Amino acid sequence: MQEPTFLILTALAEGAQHGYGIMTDVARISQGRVRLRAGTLYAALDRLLGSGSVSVDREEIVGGRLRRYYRLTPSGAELLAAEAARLRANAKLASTRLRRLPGSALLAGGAA
Amino acid sequence: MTGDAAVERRYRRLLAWYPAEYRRAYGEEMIGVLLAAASGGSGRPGLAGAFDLIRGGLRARLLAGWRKLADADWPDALALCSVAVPIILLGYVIAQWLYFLHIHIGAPHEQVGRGLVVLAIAAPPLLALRFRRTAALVAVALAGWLTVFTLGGISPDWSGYWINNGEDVGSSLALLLGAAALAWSGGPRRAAEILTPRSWLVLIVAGVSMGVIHPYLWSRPAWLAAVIVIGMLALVAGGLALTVPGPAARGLLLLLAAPAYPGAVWAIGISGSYGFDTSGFPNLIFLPTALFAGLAAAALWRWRHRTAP
Repeated sequence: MQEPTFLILTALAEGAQHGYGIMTDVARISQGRVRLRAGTLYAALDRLLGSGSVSVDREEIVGGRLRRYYRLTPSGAELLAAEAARLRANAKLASTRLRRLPGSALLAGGAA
Repeated sequence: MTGDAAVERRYRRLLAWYPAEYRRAYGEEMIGVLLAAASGGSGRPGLAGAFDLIRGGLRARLLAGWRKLADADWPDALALCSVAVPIILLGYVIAQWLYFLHIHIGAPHEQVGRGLVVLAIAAPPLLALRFRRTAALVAVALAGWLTVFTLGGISPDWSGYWINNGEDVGSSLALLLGAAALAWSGGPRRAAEILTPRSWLVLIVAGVSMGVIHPYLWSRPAWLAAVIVIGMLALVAGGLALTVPGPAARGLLLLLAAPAYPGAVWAIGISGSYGFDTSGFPNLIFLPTALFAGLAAAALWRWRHRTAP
């Protein structure tokens, strides 16, 4: 799973959000590292809607403009959980090996 | 005009890169998000933002095209091929035969040879009206024989004029396609149910005009040959798209593209200065042909995978 997709699903795990809300939330949870643009966001949303990982929660008209809210489906939650577990396992393995590396306590975050 | 309206117009122009269906689904929502991002400090649509929308639009168009292809009625497209391939080949071969008879009667054995080629192309689909499996076997044998002959022609010890093999590569692929169509589809009987009188006419005219135009191309400059060949292919493709009913037409056109491409490159390549050395460009023929064939195979696989119980 690509990082933008992972972050979009993570943003929606907090609750239903509209497009611009997802963009700002992704920037916040990635601490400004990932800034989604509209083309990338809607390509990912279109794919996630097609695979059933995300569904439309509701639509509103705000200031004369359509605002559509998206939410995570149970299968999307499962997908996110599996990806989080995979990343956690990889991170754990990396940390374990880094701890064994002589003189690399700082690289491993100082945890010995 | 206010600044916001100008920005919105620019975003709408960029969204034109997306297919209409996509714009209907997300267009207004995207405009709202883009304007919110612009007013939220993300700035006016800069180069990176425009690139992101153009890339997204092209990607959406590619995906939409791919979905349309994969949604084609592939069993019917194959059934159509079982008729389209022999009709086009017969039109081409018979028109050329008549042309050569017109300029030079030739020896009897030449006429027998040409007659056998006509029989070899016509026999499998006619046989398929009663004995489909036998017809498929005969078609596979004939296509296999020509393919072996073609592969021999393009072996490394050959003179290296790759483009001169375009006709053989195209004919081999067409016969293999026709054989596969007889084996894995409803064959000519199903095709006869689908084809309209106009689509029969387009198929016959396509083959005959290829056979008639081919000798005319020899003495023309390559650019003129390219214009004629590409124009004719576009007319045939347009004619089939307009006259073949249902979603099978897209599949038929993609299936026919693989054998048509090397034939077209060959027809252009041999015009003008005969013997145009293309030994350095074998990919000119083989890569696009492989791409068309691969795309058709992938779409067929996806169709089968999706419709499997």
